[in-house]
Amino acid sequence: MKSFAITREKIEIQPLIDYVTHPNAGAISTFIGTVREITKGKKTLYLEYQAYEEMAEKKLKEIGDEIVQKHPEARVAIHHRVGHLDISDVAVAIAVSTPHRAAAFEASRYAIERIKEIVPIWKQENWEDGQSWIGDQKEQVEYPSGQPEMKGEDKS
Amino acid sequence: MIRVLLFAGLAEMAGSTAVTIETSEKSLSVNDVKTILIEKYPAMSDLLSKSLAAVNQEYAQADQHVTTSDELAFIPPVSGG
Repeated sequence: MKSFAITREKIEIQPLIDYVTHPNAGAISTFIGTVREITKGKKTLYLEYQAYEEMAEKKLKEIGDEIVQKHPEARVAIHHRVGHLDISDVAVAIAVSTPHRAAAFEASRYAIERIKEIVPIWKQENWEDGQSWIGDQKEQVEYPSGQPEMKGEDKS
Repeated sequence: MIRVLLFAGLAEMAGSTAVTIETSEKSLSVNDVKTILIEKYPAMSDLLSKSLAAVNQEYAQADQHVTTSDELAFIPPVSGG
């Protein structure tokens, strides 16, 4: 199994958990992002995800590397799905194992926030009355340095 | 000739996920390419100004130069997860 992957197939979480399972791990944290039906009062019928696939896989791996830099004993796996997703389908799954629970929780949160900052994936909302590409969920349109900032070092 | 990859709203505006820029120059800056794209597709102006560039799958600055052998892409604000 690829530990960092963009996939068109339904995401299975167990292989990711198996991948990060390790004798030195005392905690495995998983995050599963699913397709929500109602956003700001509007009903979503389905989502269409698109990715710059090769770069997206590189960026997912980079997020894994950032986590390992901070928590050297961490093991990380992330899969993100693209294509047509229905309500409640799994869009992204993250598994992180670490020796102790605090780091596992923190790293899993870090991974999903970083995905929303640096990984070239886009979702198109499809409603009853139209469709739109969603951008800038974190309201970070302006990048003063020309690229997303690296936050790996200063997070505690 | 420089090949440019487009995604999401940008691809829709161009009607394609890849466009080519004809040029007699050996290289163009990311910003030059942006300007040419906006001339060709005025509707892209707003979204392109919010987009980042990636050269060979790494985020790049506006003054970075690209040649025919580089892979240039414009990345609209991302919305994964």
